[in-house]
Amino acid sequence: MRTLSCVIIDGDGPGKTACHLVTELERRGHGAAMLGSDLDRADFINLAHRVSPQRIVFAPSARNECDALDFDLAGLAPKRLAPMVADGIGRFLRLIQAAIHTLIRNGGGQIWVVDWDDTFEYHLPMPCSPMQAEARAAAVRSVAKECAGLGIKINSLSIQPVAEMFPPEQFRDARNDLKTYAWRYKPLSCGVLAAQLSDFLERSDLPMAGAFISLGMGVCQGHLVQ
Amino acid sequence: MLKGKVCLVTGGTKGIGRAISQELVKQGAQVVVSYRNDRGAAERALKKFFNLGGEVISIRSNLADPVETEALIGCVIEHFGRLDVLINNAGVTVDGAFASMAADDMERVINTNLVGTTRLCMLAAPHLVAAQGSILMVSSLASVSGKEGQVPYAASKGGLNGLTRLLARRLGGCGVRVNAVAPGFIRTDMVKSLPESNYEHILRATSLGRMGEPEEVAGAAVFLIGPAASYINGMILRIDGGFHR
Repeated sequence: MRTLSCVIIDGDGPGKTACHLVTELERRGHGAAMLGSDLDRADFINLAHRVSPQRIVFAPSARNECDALDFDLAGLAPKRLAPMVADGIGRFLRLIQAAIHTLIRNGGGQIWVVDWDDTFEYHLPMPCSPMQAEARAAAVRSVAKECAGLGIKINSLSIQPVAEMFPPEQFRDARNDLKTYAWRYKPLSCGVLAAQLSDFLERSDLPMAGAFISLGMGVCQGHLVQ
Repeated sequence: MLKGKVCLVTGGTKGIGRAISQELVKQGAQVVVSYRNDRGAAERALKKFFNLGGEVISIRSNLADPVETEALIGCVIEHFGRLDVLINNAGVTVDGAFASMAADDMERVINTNLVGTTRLCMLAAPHLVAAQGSILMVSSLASVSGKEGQVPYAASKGGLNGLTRLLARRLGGCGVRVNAVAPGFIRTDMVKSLPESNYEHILRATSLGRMGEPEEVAGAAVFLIGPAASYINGMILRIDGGFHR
């Protein structure tokens, strides 16, 4: 199998999922570069010119819409959520357009957009951005329809909180709260998730485009039925 | 069932928004319709609503402008003293191949459909909590199924679905329900001018074999904001005639 060049965007989000992905890709002999969440389209284009990626991964960002909403609803001033949404989704669209240009130039490839399953926010203090997650998933479905003929396969990955995010007793408390949903709070490690995503990235004949995949051990709920 | 309720419908003078406003008038609600720039359509809609005996006012407001959005809520409260229902229907689209779409066009769609709506919800929230009211988003099937040529539009409507779930989660405990409808192919003015060959393939993929009427969306919208839906919260209801492609 040929060596891949990969770029991971928003590699500084919580849970260190992106760092584990870089480690796993490098262990398999591939190249991996990260773009920080404070960087935008021009920075990506510069990086892409240097490393010519065939695989681009949007990692979960550190944005927390729940905190912003709580602040706004506290009545202080509705000033946080709307700008956060404008900045986050606007930046995502600019970056994904640049990613498509890059992959067209490089003869095709894969894009993965990874977000947290925000329904866990009921029981764990995790970053929660349902607006961003659903906007990104809707964009992925639409872009997939436009890019299928260009050799670009783009998919969404929804992940559950990973073991490294919280101490074991916090997961245990969540399990005890829920009883029958216990499996939802038996977390996977970052390493296992990184290995699964790397398996997808290594496939030259990936049999999916425009897919929305939930990765985790428990029942996935709360998202749109497609 | 909605008699005496004060309802704000953004983009309420044309298409689906107009049908929802008309249904609200029929149900006895006091209705505020906002529009962006088509004064003629607003006047025609108001004339129709008055003929139905409605208590309706119209306000020109561009949701992409934070000052105008704040003024819109201010006008509603000044005129009626309360707000029971917010229907976020206003939206724009710029269609075209995503790879060559201008950044300004993407920004305009996101700012109007999602950012402006988010801002309006934040401004309306205290009044809706006081009234134990409800919010309805008019999303789109494009957010669920994806739509080539409409990437920013689909993303903005996907964001609205997320906002629906987020607000439902946060406001449910305060007695405010938040739901959404996701209409599919609906006979609006824009569609009426298209030749049938442009949408025949969509009808073939729709199990009812026809496009929807704005009034059919309005029926579901009024159900979701009304007392019959009192235990429905955070729902995104597809109104697509059974579309599967």
